[in-house]
Amino acid sequence: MAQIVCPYCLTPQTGRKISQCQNADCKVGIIPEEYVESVRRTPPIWLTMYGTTQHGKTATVDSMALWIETIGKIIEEASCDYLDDYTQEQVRLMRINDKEGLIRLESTQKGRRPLLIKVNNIIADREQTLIIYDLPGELADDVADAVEYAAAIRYAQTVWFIVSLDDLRADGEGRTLSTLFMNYQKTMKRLNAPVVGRSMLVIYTKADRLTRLLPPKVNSYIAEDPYSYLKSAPARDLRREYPFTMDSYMDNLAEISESLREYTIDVVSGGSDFVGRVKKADIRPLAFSITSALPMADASESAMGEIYRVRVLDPLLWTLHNGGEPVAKADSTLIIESGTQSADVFDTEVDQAVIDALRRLGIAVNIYFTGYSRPVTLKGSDEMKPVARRLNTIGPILDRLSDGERVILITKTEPYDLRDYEFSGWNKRLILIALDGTVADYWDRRIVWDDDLDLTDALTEYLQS
Amino acid sequence: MSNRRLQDDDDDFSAPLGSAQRAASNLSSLADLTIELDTAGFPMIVLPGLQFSIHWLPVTKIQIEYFLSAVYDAKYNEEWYNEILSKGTPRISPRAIRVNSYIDLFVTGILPAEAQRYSRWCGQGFDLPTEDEWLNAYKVLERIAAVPAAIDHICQTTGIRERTDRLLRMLEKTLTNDAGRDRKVVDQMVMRHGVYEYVYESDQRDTFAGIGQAKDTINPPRKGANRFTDRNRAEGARNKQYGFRLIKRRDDF
Repeated sequence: MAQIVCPYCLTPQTGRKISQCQNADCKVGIIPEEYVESVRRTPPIWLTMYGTTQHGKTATVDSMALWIETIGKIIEEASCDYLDDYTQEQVRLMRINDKEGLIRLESTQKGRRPLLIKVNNIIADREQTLIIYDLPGELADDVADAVEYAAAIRYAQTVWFIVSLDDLRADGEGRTLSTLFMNYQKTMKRLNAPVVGRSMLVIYTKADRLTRLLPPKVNSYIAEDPYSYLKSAPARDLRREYPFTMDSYMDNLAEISESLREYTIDVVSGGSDFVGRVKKADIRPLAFSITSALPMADASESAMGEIYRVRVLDPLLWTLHNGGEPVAKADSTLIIESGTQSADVFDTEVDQAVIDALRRLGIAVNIYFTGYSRPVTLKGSDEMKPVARRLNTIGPILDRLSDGERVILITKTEPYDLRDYEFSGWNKRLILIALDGTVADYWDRRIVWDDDLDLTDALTEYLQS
Repeated sequence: MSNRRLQDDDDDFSAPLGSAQRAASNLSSLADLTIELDTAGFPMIVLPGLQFSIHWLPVTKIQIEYFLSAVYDAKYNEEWYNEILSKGTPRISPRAIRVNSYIDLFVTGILPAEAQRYSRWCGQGFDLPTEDEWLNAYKVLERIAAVPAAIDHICQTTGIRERTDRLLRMLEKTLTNDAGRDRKVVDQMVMRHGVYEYVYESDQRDTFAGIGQAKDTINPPRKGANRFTDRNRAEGARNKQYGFRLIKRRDDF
């Protein structure tokens, strides 16, 4: 179960019934029901697009939003939903522009309002909600403007770093890839938002202008995009000639990412410094992709007969595949068993009791299920249970948490790897709530669940000591 | 992946390995020895003259648990893992290992195709080694006397996790207690007295063999020693003595 956060003002919401944002100052107010339902089942992916004006951010997001609509041609049973009226209206305008061969060169996203898009079954049996902020290009140059977008920038786990290398080459301000990144770091620092733990996808746009400069392997990859005619190609032909499997697609993406990384280091102005800085900042993973959303486009000529889009699915698929929970700091982490005995956890509603108790103590939590290294998918109407039975392990979660972070673990059976943490710092920082009194009786901070238990008192004792 | 070069000016490490490197024709300089971390944060070392880095240890159950937490594949679930544990070796916490149980750290009972799936998850360049690649690494490393301080260096690598650190130190301590007088780096890396490790029989990379020396067996690693009757190691042929380690091939070495 994911915590519901207002997508407009980023305020965490409490209680079962959520419709009106609980922040009285929220400029939108109504949280769409479909969004709430979706996010209850699936923790969303927060995504910000960062890049200089005219480098192709808006064209990239337009292409992606339009391509999602037709992705069912490639992946059977894949579909998408727009979760609020604003997103529906934005996509409607994109469709009209697309039909008329018009390219949007500037975002019409008002204020800090995001696009809310839910995609279904692109990753097998998963619903994933994307919250996409197309940040104004001026942010890349003027850190002062960032404050208005602070919450979204802080919250986003994934950053799309949009760069038109062709425009960068001709840049009269002397900017390089490295200086763009330094501005990003400054923005994050000003917003008190550590970059550590975020993932970054560098998207080189306007690939059509670079063909003579790119490595042959990358050129071939661009030229051979089987989905460049996604809108007009019959689904049957696409599936027969280019059967899609996520694993092989991701393998190709990884290969091209590696080629672009080398290209960045060897050729792009400030490229080697950029890669070094990203590594030093501990942003992981760093990947590269390349798209062409408006071939032959020119800033002075925005109307064309036909819009031809190349590899615009790559950033989307990379993001869905890599997912990622919001990195906004919560006080603690709650881990709920998703193994063979997890039904008992959910049937007894211990999870909700713990969340309520923590709320009374003023503690916000990030929620995980065991066996997942990131927030998990819930399925259908059975919203309190994980979509798949997973291995009852906690290591892939604990190992990624920062020093000093507290964890509350609810489990009926002992995780495979709990003993790995005995006699470590976690013995004091992990509170284990056991549904079975025989489980992990060696654990220092253990609460055995009982219907009559005053959970708030029990948690307080451990949290304060 | 993070990496770090071992420095010549490190007193604890350079002396023993520095003298040993003279015996290892491929190891021209201590500064050439680089440590990298794989996707699960476990160390790999780069050996000069070889076109790949190689896992310091056979793949552990902790690494497999990372894999299972990251993939969404119907096959790789709790049932699969329990089968691996029942047909391979039981899971053990690093702090609980002893001379007679350290082998339980490593994943065994796995099939070659499953090891390949794990390697794909690790990313581009990761793969099972060929028998020749494995033996080439072995030949370099068996000539170098064990360097206990190497563990400290590995554990100082940026990005290494506390749990991995504990495992490496506990294993080194356990292996030291079990050591004969002529301990080599291959013993630290459990390339012998460990598990038979899956390798490709040839550069074709379409059939598999086992290489290495399983614990409590006497024959040292040699080419062609563990050919399978079933050359492709079909489903169902899980064996508790068989595990694997990966290499990462790179074109730009």
